[in-house]
Amino acid sequence: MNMQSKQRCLLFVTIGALAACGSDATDGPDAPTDNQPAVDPAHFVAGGLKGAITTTSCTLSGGTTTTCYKIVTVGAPSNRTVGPFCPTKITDGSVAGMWIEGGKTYDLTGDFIANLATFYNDTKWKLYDAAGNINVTNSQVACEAAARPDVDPAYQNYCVECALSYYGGGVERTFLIPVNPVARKSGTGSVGMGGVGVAFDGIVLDGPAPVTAIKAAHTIAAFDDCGGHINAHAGYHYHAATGCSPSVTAADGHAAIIGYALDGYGMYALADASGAEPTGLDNCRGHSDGTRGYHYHVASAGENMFIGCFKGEQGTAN
Amino acid sequence: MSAARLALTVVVFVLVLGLPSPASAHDSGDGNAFMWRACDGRQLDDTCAFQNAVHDLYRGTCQSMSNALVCVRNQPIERAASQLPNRMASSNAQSPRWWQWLAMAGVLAISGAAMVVLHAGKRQR
Repeated sequence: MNMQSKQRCLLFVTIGALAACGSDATDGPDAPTDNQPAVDPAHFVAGGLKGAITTTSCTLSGGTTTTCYKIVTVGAPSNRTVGPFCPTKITDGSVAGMWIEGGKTYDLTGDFIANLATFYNDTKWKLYDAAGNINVTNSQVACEAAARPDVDPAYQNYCVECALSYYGGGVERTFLIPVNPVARKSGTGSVGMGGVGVAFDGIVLDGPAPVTAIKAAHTIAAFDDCGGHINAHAGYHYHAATGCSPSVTAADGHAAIIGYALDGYGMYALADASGAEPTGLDNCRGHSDGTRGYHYHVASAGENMFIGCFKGEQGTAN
Repeated sequence: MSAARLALTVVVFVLVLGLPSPASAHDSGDGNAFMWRACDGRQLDDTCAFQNAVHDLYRGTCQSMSNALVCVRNQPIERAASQLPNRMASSNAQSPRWWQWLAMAGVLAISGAAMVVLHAGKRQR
């Protein structure tokens, strides 16, 4: 390498460094566009709704007054029965539900429960008795005591599951979602406790919650194979997109849309028709294209989340 | 070692140190908690990274969920088979932006100095 080549090399490195400094994760080609498609209420499955979707005046999280779709859901998918969640015996080889851990999903079998101490490298994990019966919450009192953040000591080392029958067959939810998404003027909206959006079967798409306390009590809040489980407040809700809920495929091979976020932007599956993940996602896991405008792509099932934040002003989920 | 080679070696070393160290699922054994731990000591929108149980690498930014920061991936998962040897999965108390700015300042200073040295050497010959 001659002297000039060395100088060019150093100049290249320097320019590269400057370019890296200039990039900021909060910026990028992800701003919502002017030709943003409106929410399409026809995507929702009627069986998951309490009644027809209507419009109403609403005030979004940023103070904008606009028109929202009012979507009242029954809290249970109409095309299937939720569950199963927990296996009942450690010798039970069939798959009950699913567990999410370490970025992966695991079939919840008796064998999986039997090996939790090894799985977590913690001998305190023992969710079964001497006869091999797994400790499963079997009443509303039990499930609510075991599922609360400060787990009732009586329900440590339990596989936690609740039944929709405890809540009248489903917890009714009301979503107000702007008909036309309103982009935030600056910054992003944080994900709170009310969920991040709604799937087309009417089930709330929930954000993750810190589970340190629950893990410390050696309990597993089992998911069914669709990535959902039940609690008293949210009813049946999803923590992962596994392909169970209805979706609308795209003719151009783009990932299918699976629901809408509370800010009205579309929530799309992780991968496109060829199985490829999108690139160029912003901090919220969204980006724009000419067909769909700004939209989100949900995270993988093992990540126990859907999107990172809201690019638009949110409606509400109650 | 020539001045240019030394400078490039230092540049690469500084750049590698400046990248966020991924939290690892194997550090604690408590599973998805590493996604939250990856944002310990970081602020909203800071870059973060973590590895799953099989060393797949996830890169993203820290976002607020239920009033706590969690690492939200926004880049395709880098599967373990195709990624470089694991970087040191240390705790991540330092802000990546602070490190990145320091690294970039170091890069500029070292590159500039090396170019001056090379130019001086050329003039002497």
